[in-house]
Amino acid sequence: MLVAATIPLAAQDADTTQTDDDTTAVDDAESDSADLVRRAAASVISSYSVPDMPAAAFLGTTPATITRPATARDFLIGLASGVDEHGQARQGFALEASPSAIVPGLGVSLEQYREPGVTPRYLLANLLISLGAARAAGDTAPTVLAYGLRLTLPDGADPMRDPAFLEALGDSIARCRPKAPIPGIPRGDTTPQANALLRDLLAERHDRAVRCMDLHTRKLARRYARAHWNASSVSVAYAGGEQLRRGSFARRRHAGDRVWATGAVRVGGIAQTLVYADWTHDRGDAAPDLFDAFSYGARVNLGSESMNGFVELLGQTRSGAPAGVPGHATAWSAGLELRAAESLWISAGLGERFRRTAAPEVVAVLAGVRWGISLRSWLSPAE
Amino acid sequence: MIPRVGPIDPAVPVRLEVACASGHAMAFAFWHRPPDTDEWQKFAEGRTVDGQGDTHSTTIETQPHAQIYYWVAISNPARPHAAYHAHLTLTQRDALVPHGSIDLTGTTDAAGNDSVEQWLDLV
Repeated sequence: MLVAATIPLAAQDADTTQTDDDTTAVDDAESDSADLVRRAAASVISSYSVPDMPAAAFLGTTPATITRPATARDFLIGLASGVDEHGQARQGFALEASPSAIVPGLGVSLEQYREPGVTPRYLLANLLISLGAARAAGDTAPTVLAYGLRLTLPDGADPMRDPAFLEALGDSIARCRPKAPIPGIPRGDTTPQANALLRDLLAERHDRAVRCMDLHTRKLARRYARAHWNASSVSVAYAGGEQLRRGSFARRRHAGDRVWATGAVRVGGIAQTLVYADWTHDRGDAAPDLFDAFSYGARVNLGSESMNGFVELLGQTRSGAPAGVPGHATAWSAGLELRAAESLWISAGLGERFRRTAAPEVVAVLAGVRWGISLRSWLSPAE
Repeated sequence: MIPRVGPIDPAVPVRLEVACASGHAMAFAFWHRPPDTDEWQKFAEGRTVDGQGDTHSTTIETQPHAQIYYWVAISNPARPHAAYHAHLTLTQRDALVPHGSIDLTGTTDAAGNDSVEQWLDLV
């Protein structure tokens, strides 16, 4: 659009041609930069949820192995595994734990968990702490040790507080009960001996039972999530990090902080409003690299048997942005799809998010609006 | 190592309790094999039911050299890869049988499930 507008001006006055070209180039650069910021906001706000493991999100890594201790002893062993024999942080280390599981006396039973309201025990059961360490590419890059916590406040879609779901869950896992003990167990009046065959049988039975439970409970959880797709909820998360020169705790420097918050509000039976905020404070390697970024998003989802849609605003505000990159950019996106017949959906929308979400079989762009025809729903918020 | 629980008093029934302290739903089954037999008899089974609390209990009349086999399933699909902590307790006359406190701990899988099965030798 900018290029088309400046070409006639350049043609009218040869002396200004160069200037106009430069202006075009600057405008294009600004447009591209703003687009970059918008895309950054869109990628930050991919799912309107706080990260499962804030420490890993801070590091920008996906750990190959995460230690999840079940007891205080396992937790201490897990922590020790993050430090090598020279007392330095071991990169690639990742640990996630629930204080209610590892601190004796803080356990939350199902009955306590289901007490109405947002009780201290409910919050405790939904508190997760995480630790991780990673090093950027290069031998001299410092190791960054990150720590984080994640807390779910009220969650209207929590199936473990729903009596009907619990009833069905109990039924589902009970269906995987073995018919009898494993064969070949030596009688109690004989001298017990280590028996590798029995160990293998137990392991095989365990795997079979868990596979059976996975099959039944996944179906149940999927059905429940679909039925409660627009439930209200609030989650928050925090992560911070320390740069460790040569992995040493003695040479540490605060690397930054990141805070996430999401909220969902049920609006009637077919709509949901989502909000997302993500603040990043990065101290960088030196003062000029210091920046703060605030990404935010608000989205309204609509979902029903015959119509789905969304309207979304994404934005990012950044301080310490390099020259030529705008400090603030927003992006709108919207989409609507209607079921024209069984397995036939007509959609229309605009904006980057719609383009990424919907991939209909037939696409046409008319007056800036992207139209599509598809055999399946792309915008259903319940999926 | 197979847990050896006891000594037990054959004159008094043994009470078994299974409870979960980590907010998971449970299902369980117990079998019993008296000494000098090869037959296992199921004597209790159950699961999480609304309003029945977190502790499930049953009693069995048994004797030394008998065996108890247990299967306990743990589930919380809302919390995958989560640590769980369940507990199996054997008591007689409201007192803990020696070695009769058995921790069932672990971490659930990606779907939020795990199971434990094992047998106990009563002495």
